[in-house]
Amino acid sequence: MKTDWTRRQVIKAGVALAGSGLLQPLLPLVAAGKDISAAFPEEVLSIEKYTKGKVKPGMIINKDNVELIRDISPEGLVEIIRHGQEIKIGETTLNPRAVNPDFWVEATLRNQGKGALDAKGQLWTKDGKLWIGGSPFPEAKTGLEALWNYVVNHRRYDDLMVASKVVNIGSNGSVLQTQYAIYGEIQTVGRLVVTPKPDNPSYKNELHRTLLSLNSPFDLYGLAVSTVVYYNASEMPDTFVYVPALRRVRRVSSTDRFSPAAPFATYFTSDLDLQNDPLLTWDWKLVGRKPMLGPSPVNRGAYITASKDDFTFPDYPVKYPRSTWELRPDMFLVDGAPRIYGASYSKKRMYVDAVYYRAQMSECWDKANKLWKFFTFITGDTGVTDHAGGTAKDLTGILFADVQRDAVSNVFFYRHLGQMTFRVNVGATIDDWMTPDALLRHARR
Amino acid sequence: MRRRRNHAFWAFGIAIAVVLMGSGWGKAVWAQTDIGPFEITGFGAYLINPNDGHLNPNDLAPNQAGNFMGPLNGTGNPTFNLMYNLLDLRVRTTVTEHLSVFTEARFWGDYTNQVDQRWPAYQALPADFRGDGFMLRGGGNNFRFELWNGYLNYQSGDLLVRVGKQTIAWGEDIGLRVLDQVNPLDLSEEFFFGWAGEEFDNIRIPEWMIRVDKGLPNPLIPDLAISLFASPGTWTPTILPAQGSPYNVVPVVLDLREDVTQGEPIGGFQLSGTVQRTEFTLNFLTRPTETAVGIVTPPPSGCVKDSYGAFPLGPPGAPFCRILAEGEHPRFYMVGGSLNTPIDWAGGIFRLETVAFANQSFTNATSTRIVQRPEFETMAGFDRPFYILPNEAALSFVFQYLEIDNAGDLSNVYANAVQQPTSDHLVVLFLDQPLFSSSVDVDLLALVDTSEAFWFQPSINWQIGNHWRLNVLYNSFGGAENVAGRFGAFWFLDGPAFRIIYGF
Repeated sequence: MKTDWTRRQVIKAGVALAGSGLLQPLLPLVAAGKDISAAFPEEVLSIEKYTKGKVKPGMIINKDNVELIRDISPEGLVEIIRHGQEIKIGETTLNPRAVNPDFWVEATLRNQGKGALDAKGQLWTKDGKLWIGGSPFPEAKTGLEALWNYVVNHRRYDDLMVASKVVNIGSNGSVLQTQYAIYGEIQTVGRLVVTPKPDNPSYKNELHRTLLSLNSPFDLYGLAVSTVVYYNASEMPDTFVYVPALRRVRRVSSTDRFSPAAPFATYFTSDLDLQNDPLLTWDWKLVGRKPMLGPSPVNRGAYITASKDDFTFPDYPVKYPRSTWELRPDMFLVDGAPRIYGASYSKKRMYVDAVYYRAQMSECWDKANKLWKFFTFITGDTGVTDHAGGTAKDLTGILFADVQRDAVSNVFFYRHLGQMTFRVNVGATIDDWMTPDALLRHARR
Repeated sequence: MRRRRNHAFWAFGIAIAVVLMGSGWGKAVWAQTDIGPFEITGFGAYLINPNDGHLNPNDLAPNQAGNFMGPLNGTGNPTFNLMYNLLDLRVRTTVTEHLSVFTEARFWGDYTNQVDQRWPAYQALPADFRGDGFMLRGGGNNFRFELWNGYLNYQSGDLLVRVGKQTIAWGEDIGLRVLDQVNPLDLSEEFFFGWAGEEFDNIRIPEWMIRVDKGLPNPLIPDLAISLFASPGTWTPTILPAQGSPYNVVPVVLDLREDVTQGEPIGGFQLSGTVQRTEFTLNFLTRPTETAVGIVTPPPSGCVKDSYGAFPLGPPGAPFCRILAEGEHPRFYMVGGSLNTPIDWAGGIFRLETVAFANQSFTNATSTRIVQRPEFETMAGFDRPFYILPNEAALSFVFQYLEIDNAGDLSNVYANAVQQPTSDHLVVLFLDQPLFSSSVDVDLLALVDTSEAFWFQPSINWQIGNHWRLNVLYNSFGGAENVAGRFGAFWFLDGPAFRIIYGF
């Protein structure tokens, strides 16, 4: 197979796979352990060719030359660069497994063709059962299918515990507040590594549970939030909070989706994991599919030692940590409109990478249809075992930018922090960690 | 009493030391401030509560000797109701993966009667009862230290064992204490009129207890769990403000003396779980009644010679006395339960909580003996967010309705010298509007009882960075006060309070 075809040649030859611009199906290449170069025309794998030489790998993009990438960038990325973000252009990553663990990719291949959406858009297997693991629609045709590939398990692991730091920075660049937290997630459906598999029979009406336990600042010390996300993507989650001042676990309304998730935060509960609301509480529409810039997996945040000037999303209390971006050859642009009470957004755009089945960027517009927020969920290799024969590919950094206020919340993740060691697929159970009673047992005060 | 206090203190200290030495200390720790193997958190607070010109009538009871326990001579206005520094120091360390130690020590400096010498009889932080040494509280009238919480914590899987001075809170309500009866309250400084959003965090007195929580997984209720606890027989009563202090609630004509007998254990359990999406608890508790039931010994035998006395012991010129009131604490038995469930169409959470006391304690009409009757308390509540301000966080709306019903013959059943009604009702509204990315909270607490008395508390709470917090509140009490002794009776405590906190 020739790999030097230009898009024009591809179209002329009429061999592009419908809608995708692919030269040949991607999945057999992935299954064979090959890279994606044979599947795409070279011009969408080379930012230099795609931009006709205007943008090259190694270039630094800042507010002075941001116009060079306007056509291939989310609007939000352009905005934060105008506000001071500097990015480096990297080569396109050809490894289709760069941001997903191998066991996830294998399950995606194994279960190809077994996923189906019902009339409401709810995910099932074709025989009407709970999903069995991996991304269900590796050859997605609709925006909803592309999103299911991501939200069915944002983090890809059966269980995960990680320590994180959130640095909230105001418009003048000063740190408003720094929060330290433990984040956990336990998948109940589509489990692939740790028994019970493929689902937990005790909690099979759920998709997953999450835990957020804050250690700092002092008045958040010991606060812990556990959220039950139901398998039915039309059903709102349930949220339980251990409030140290009350010495009790208190259930709170999950309809409060559009308040800052913590003091000074630029993100709402709705924004976590880019799309934290149940998928079918929004209306989704595929509005485009094209090459776009996306964060590179070389951005390993606090998992590597880096200086403030490195383009790896280094762990420094600056408003816009530098990062590396690359041309991704095939990106779904999926627009969503919320149907939830109190929604502050008129629209959200999710950018789902068709190679990774993963979203790493989104934008939100306010009710006046003015761009409000831009979020980047950077994913890379943490170097930590995934307990399935590989290393864990997971979030290495998050940038929540409020482009109207020019304020950000930057999140860094750590291999070790205090008592917490980043770990995945270790057999953590809901009963031990994420029930209301478990929150009480783990209460730090 | 002092020897017992020392024993308890040293026993606890030795237990911690043995565990730490045996373990080789814990892993690295992680909090806002870390020192060696210790997570250090806490805060220092400075509070000013000016007096708005009202005098506490409880300190100004009829007095024939020309003495007033409260504001000097009963004339003029005090300047302050309260002024204090509080250092709350929390230290946590992990000994092993499963074993940790938590201590919370508090250091007070109460300057109220130093900056305002109109409070001649003021006593900050009184704790004067048999067995008060178990509180591990020491110091003088104005400066005190206390080991507030302090416990060993073993947690593994769905098992928790916690041993030491600790706090257990139950129930769905905020601030009403329907089920929340395990720990008593220290009301000695500002009663319970501090910041409503903090509920009883700084005044719920930890008790010595052993607590065991264990999951009881089963196919029907996967998260079923039980929490069992018992005290070794030590217990603490509700600590009221000292007579003569700004927040005093006991009329000066009475000489109230706590009658506390140690050796009476506290015990109980809570069974909890979730059925469908409804979370429930079933609860049982027995303990000596926290708040004293005052039993009066009439004069002359119950007459206590006192310079603040209102009653002459003899002919003109004879000494005066106050009436002796023994604060009794009969044991009670309580069963109850609670539930909460989301109501999706209403976008909020419905809460229900109920208890039955087999033998709630009251007095007869003359307060000379205890009368016990069954009592039932039920709270129904609903809370949900409302988006009021564009692009700001949602306003939290919390509504609670409390009904207290008394059973049996109530013709000679009194509480605080007021005949007990068949039922009582209270409505609570709490609103919280975060502003400026949730760095500022504007709150309003409103309690209205059906005797038409009320307590309103607006407050503003401002977070500044990682360390500083500024809080302002205004308490307003009033209403018709058709039944004595309700919120309307606190009209003299109207006024603002200001607090600055440095947290670490």
